[in-house]
Amino acid sequence: MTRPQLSTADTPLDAWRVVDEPWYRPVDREVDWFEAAYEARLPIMLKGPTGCGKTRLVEHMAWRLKRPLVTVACHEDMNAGDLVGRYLLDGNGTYWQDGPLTNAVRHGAICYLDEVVEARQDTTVVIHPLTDSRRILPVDKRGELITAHPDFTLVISYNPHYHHASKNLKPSTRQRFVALELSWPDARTEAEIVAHEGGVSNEVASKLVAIAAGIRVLDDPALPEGASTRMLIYAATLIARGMDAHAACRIGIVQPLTDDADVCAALTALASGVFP
Amino acid sequence: MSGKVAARALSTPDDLPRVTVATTGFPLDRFERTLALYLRSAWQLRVPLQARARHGHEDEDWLPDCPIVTTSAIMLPGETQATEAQRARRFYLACAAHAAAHLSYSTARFEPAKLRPLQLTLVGALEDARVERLAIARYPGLQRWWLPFHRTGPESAGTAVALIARLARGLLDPGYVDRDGWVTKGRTLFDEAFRSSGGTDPAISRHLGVLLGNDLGQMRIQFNAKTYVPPAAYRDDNSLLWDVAPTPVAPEAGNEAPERNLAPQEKQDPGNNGSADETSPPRRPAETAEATSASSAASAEEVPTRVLAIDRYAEWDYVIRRYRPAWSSVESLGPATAPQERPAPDDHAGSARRIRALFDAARVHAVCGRTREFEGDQLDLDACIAGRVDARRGRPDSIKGFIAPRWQPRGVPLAVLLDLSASNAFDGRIGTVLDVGRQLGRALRTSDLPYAIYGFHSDGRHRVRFHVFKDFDDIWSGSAEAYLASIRPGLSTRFGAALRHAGARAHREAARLGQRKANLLIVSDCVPFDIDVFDPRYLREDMRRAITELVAQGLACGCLALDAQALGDARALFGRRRVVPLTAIDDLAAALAAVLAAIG
Repeated sequence: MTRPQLSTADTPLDAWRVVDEPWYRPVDREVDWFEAAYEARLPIMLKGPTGCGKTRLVEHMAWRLKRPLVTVACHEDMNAGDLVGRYLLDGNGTYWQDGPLTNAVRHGAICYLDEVVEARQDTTVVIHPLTDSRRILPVDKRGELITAHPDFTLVISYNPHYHHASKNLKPSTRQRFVALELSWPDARTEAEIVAHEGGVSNEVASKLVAIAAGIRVLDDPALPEGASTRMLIYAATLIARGMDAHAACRIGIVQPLTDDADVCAALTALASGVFP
Repeated sequence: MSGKVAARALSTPDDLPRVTVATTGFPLDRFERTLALYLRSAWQLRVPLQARARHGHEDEDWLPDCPIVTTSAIMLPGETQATEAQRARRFYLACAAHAAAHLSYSTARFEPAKLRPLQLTLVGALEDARVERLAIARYPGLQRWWLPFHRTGPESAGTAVALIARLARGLLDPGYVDRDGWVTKGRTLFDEAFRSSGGTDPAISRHLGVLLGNDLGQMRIQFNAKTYVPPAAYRDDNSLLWDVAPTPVAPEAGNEAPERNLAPQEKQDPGNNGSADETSPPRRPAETAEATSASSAASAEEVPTRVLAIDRYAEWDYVIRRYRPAWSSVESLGPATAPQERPAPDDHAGSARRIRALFDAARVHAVCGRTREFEGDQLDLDACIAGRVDARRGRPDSIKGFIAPRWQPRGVPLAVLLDLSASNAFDGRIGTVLDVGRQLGRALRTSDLPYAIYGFHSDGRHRVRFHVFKDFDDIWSGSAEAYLASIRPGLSTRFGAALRHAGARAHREAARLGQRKANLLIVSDCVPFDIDVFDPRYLREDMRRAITELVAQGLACGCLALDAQALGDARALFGRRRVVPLTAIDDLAAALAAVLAAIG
C-alpha cells in the first residue's frame, strides 16, 4: 500500500483553479455583493431554488477573484473527517490526510459546501471557528490549530424551498454568514441565459421560459418546486440538437419535475400549447 | 329539420373527432385535477369545474350538453364517449382552453336587445373566433387542439348551421379553402377588423355579427335558434357574452328555467323531473335528515364509548394574558365493548405503500452502536496491532482498523388528530377525515413507526371528547377501524385542549422511546369553535398558544386542511408550509409528502 501523491508545496491547489471563465449572467448585483463580502473575508451563504445558478456564480467568482475553488457536495453520510481530514493506514502505519476544508484553509482557496443542509448538523459545526473573527480550524485528532490563509473564504449554499425540517441549518450556523438570495431571473434575462447555454434562438428560449413561468405559479403538493433554469437549459439543449420541442419539454421538464400523472398531463398540455 | 338531425348532419362519426357525450365513457372527474392545474398554470385562472349531469335524455338521439362558461364556474359535459383516455383528455383540454380564452379576453357584455336569434348566434361565433385568435397568439399550439373539431367543409349543405360552421372553421384555419361568397365575405371583414384593432376590441364581433346576420337573412336561409348547437363540441353556449338579467330560481309555470341555472350536483335524476324538489334551493348536508341525526354525538349507529380517563388542561385567555388553570376537561374515550368488525375494501393499497414509504423516508438516523470499518475517524488500536501481527506472520493485510458509529433509522412517534366536529359534516369532509384515519391506520400497520390515531369534538369546556381509536401501544385492528367508521360528525371544536392532550400523549411516547421529538398531524378545517365561547378570537389565540407550547416541547405540528376557504387562518396558526390543503382522499399521499417535508 502506498500513500497518494501529494501536491508540491508551492502549487498545492493548482488543480482546483478555474482556468476558463464560466459564463454567468448577473440577475441583480450579486457579483458586486459577493466581491465585497470576499474582500472583507466574510463567509457567504447562497440561498436559492435548485438550478438557479448558485454553483455557477461561485465558479465565476473563483475565476474572477483568481482563487482555487474546492467544492464539497454535502450528503447525509458526510462526517467531520470528510471535511477536516483523517488518519489513514498504509503498510508502515498511519498517516494524516488533509480533508478538502483543511486544504482550502491552509492554501487560501474558496471552499464551497454545496447543499450544506444535507450534511448532519453535528458535522457542520466544525466550520464555526472558521466563520467568526477567529478564522481558525482546530484539528483535534492531530492537536493542530490551523490559522486560515488570508485568501481563504467559505461559501455555503442551500435551497430554502425544499428541504427536510430535520435538515435545517442551526441558527448558530446561519448567523455566521452573509446571505445572498438568488432566485429565478426575470423572463427576459432567463430567456437570454437559456438561449446562451442551450444554444437555441431567443424565441425558443422565451417559449421555454413561458412554460417555466406557468409551472412556477402552481402551488400543488406534487410540485414542491417549480421548473429550474437548468431544466430549461436541458430542454433547450435537446431542441438545439434536433429533438422535437414537445418531446424535449416532456423529458427535460415535465417528467423530471413530478411523478404525479395529473400534474404531468397538465404540464404536458401547457407545453403543448406553447409550442405550435 | 330537427336540431338533432341538423347536428347529426354535421357530426357523423367519420367527420367529427370521436368525442361525443354518451352514457358510457370517460367521466370529467378523471381529468378534473389536470384541467384545474392547466387553467392555473397556463391562464392563472382558479375557476371551479363542474360536471353537467345528463338528465331526461335516454333516447339514442341524445346529443351532448355543450359547455357553459360563467365567471364563477366552467361547466363541462359530465362524461365523454372517447375510445381512449388520451382523446377524452384532449376534448376536455380543448373545452377548458376555449373557456379560458373567453374568461381572459371576452371582457365586454353585449346588449341582446333588438338582435335577431341568427345575429345573436353569429355574434357568438365571431367572438369565439376573436378570443381563439388571441389565445393562439399566446399559445400557438391551441390551434392544433381545436382544429380537429371543425370538420364541416365546403361540400356540406347550404344551411345556416353549416354556413356558420364553415365560417367558424375558416376563421380558425387560415389554410381552409371555401369559395362560398358569404363565408369569404365574413373571413375578409373579420380579418380586416381584427388586424386594425389588434383583436382587442370585442365590438367587432357584435358589429360583424349583425352585418353577416343581415346578409344571411337576405339570402332567405332559414335558421332555428332552438335547435342550434355550436359548430364544434368544445365550444360553449356563449351565454357569458350577453348582458341578461338573472333567471329566477323558481320558474313560473310554463316558463321552465334554462338548465344552466341548475347547479349540476342539484340536478335530479330523470325519474324526478318536474318534481317540486328540483327547483328548491340546495340543502346543506347538515340540513338533511341524515346529517341532522349525524350531528348528534350519540348516533344510534355509533359504538358505545366509555371514559378511560379525564384530564384537565389550562387554557390561554388572550384578554387577561394569563392561563386559566385546569380550565378544560378532556375525556379520553374508548369503545365500551369491542365493536363488531366491518371489513372494508382495501381500495388504496398503492396509496398505502406510498404513505409507508414516505414515513420510512422521513425517519431520522440515530447512533445505535459501533462497527469496524476500513476507513473512519477513530482508530481501533487493538485491530491495528492485530493487523500488524498478521502482516508480519505473512497473512493477507486486510484489517479493519477504524471504528465508526453505526446509524440506524428511527421513526419519530406520530399522533394523528382527527377533527370530528359538526363543521366537517359539510361537503362530505367527514368522509375525508375518517378515510385519512383509516388509510393511515392501515398503511402504518406494518411499519415500525410508533403511531396513534385520535379524534375529538367538544361540548363546552367541561366536555372535550377525545376518542382513542388507536394508541401508541395498540395495534391497528378491525375493531379500531369499526370504531372509527361508527363516528358521526357532531359538536364543536375546542382545539387547544385537544392539541394539548394529544401532544401530552405523543410526548410521553417519545420519552418512553428515549427520543426528544414527536410529530402531530391534524386533519381539520382549522376553525376553532365552542358553544360556551362567544369571542371567536379567544379559541384561536388559545390554539395558537397550544401549538407554541407543543413546538417548545419538541412536537412538530402539521395540518391537512379540509377547507380551502380557511387555508389562510390555518397557515397563520401552524405556519405557511405546515398546512397543506386536502380536498380529496386520493391526494393524501401527495399532501402527506408536503407536510412531512415541512415538519420532519
